[in-house]
Amino acid sequence: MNDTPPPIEIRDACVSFRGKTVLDEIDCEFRPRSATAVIGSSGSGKTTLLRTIARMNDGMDGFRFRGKLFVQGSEIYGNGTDVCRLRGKVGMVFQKPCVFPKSVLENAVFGLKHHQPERKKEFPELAERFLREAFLWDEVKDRLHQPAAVLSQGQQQRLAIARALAVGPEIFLMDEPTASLDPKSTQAIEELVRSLKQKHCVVLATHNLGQARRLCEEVLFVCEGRIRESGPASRVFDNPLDEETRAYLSQ
Amino acid sequence: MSPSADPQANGPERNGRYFPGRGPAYWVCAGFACVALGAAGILLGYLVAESLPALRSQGWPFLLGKDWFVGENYGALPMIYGSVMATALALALALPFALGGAVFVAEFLPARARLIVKSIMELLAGVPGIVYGLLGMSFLAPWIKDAFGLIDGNSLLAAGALLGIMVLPTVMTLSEDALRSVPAEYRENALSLGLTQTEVVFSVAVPQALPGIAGAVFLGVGRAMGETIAVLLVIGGIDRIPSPWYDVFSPGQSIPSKLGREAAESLGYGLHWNALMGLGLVLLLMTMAVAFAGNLFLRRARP
Amino acid sequence: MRRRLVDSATRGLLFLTTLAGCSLLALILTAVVGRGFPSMSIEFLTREARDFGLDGGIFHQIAGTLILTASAGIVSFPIALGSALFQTEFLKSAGLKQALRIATYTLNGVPTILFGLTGYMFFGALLGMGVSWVTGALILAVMILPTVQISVLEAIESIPAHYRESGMALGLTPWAQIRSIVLPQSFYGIVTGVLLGLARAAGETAAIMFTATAFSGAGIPRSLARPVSTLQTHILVLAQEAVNPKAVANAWGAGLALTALVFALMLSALWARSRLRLESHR
Repeated sequence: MNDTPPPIEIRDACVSFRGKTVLDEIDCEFRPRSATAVIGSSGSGKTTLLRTIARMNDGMDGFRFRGKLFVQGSEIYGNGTDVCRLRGKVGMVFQKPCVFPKSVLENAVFGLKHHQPERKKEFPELAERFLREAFLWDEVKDRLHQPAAVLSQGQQQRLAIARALAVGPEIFLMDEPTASLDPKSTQAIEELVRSLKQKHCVVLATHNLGQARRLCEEVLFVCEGRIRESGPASRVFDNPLDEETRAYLSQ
Repeated sequence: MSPSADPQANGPERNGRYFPGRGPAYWVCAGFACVALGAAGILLGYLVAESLPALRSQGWPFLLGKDWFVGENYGALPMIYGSVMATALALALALPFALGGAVFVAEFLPARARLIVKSIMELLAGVPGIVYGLLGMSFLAPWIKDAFGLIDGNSLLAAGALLGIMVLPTVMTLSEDALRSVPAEYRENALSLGLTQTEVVFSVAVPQALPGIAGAVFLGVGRAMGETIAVLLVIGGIDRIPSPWYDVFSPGQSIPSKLGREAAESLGYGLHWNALMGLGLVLLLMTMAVAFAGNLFLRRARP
Repeated sequence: MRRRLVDSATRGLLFLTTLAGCSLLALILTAVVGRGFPSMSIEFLTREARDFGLDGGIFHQIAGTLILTASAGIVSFPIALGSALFQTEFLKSAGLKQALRIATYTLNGVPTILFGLTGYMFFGALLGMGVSWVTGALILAVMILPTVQISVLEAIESIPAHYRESGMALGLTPWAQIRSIVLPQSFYGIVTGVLLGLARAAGETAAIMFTATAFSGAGIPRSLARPVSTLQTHILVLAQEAVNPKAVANAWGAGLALTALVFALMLSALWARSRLRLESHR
């Protein structure tokens, strides 16, 4: 069991944009089949950390990465990394639900269409499978061919998750997936995260401390671009060792 | 979205805007708006009124006739053909470069390089038509003559190619604008699914920008159709439809070039003038249809 | 692997089309400068034309283009601004607004020669102004009206709502609202529009060639009723004497001068527009 490398391992990483350091001395790993919460105030670097893991910062102006970042044991900022294959393994869900101006069905298989065009015939079945996995099937099964934009924000977010699931990722990066949703939709997404973490490594950036406590086994507290504290959720929440962490949690 | 947007609560306020009463400022601005509209009315009115005598005396053959002999009969078909043909050639030559360039500049160039290329394109879109005409006359037409072994380089092809060069910057910058206006989050989402950058461009950005791109192309068509002076210098100036009709190496005549050549001869007098105004009316209807379609597309692109 | 290949190939192809487009346009600039430069000199710019343009300079033509362009701008600017303000500040009906917008955009695409034809009929023949400076100026003014108006309109419409609302909250009268909020906030947009309009007027030939200009004998017009001579029409006449190398050389010299003039206007317009963007992002 010790032979399998952790899904994500970051060693002494430093991220800067145009010479301005955003993340520094990041050193951590994430466990398989569990959820890790990344908490911290706005602008602390949570989003940058998540985007760095999926190499989503590559096109940004003046982006620079130093250190080492392993996904399933292979270094992703080394030479010869297939960025597309990496992003296939690392799914990402953004804060604002974003569906493409196509039908629900086309949205669900959007990534699949490019990764495995040869399975075109199976797309309807696959769409059903992943929409079920995203707890969305019952709500949309009668309007698969309607434009996805007619869905509610919460449904759109679950559709985005189904779309990411279809590509077959083993890691899920979720950047405040419920921040722009109402309480009911938030509950649905939380339910979905609980089921996702049975099979996947989930990294959840969130402002909502209650959500972090409810969903995650591990917690990572980021402040001004550095990891101030990390550990099991119960320990960090009940007995924070770091001064900053205590101040943040007691807000 | 602000709480004060409730129409009932705020009387004269609607959609967050305040619509005041009719003070002097209102009447001054209204007057200017009327002047602007009046100018458009006069344009249309004169074209219709002045072309009526020619349309009445020629009837349908005005649109379908193939001969234009001053003092005898006036048939507009060769000029309509020339306009359409030159524009079609211009599109065929310019579109691959304009659209390819727009995609490349919008999606693959870093911000600073994009600004430079765009500024150059916008400058080039402003180069006066007469200068393009001079270029066409001195370089393009002789080159076409040598390359295809013609007696005279002034031809439909020369006019089309020159128009293509002229509308390329316009179509490119407007299409680029359309692509840039697709929100970045769509690209991010598609990228995060593991698509390559070109897959993102062609499956997300281009489909969403398509109305805007179509609008850009239509506006380019309108510009090409209405260009007078550059075409006048290279199209050859012969009022006939070549045989076979697709022989683009032969000289022709477009509506604007015909107007530019002959308007001074009969300024305001006689059936010849009425016939020219009739040609102008045909041109106006053609370009208005194109501009209208283009703006419909652009409007759909920018809701 | 195949996807990578398609990706790279497409990128390469797109790059090539861009390169081809850009180099073609670079070629144009070199040609204009290369052909025009030999005729360029202080004397060429400051002397009057002699021997039907074959000899002498283009001083009167430059002056003519400038005065025609400037007077068109002066006539057009208040009309465009007032009309745009009417559409944004006073007009209530959304349907009318939309109709006016479509009319403006459509007018912007009307071929310029048609402005020349009908403008001559109205100003030249009906109002008896003949072939003259004033006819040309009015025709050009009408021609650039939609260009200026669209720019002003877009600048005013992009003013963030909270500026307007704070003005309303202070209880400003319409005129005070326009003077202290709308105009300052859209200042650079208005400047952009005017400069783009002037650039369009300065480069225009078809609308004025038989309505405002005379080829020879027209110096600086002494009155509004006299014809002017312009760079554009000067080039046109010289270009049609293509057999005479001296005529063509002088045409290129005038072409370079005209291009420089239009570029100066366009560059100022681009600068003003970048200021507008800067201000609105602040």
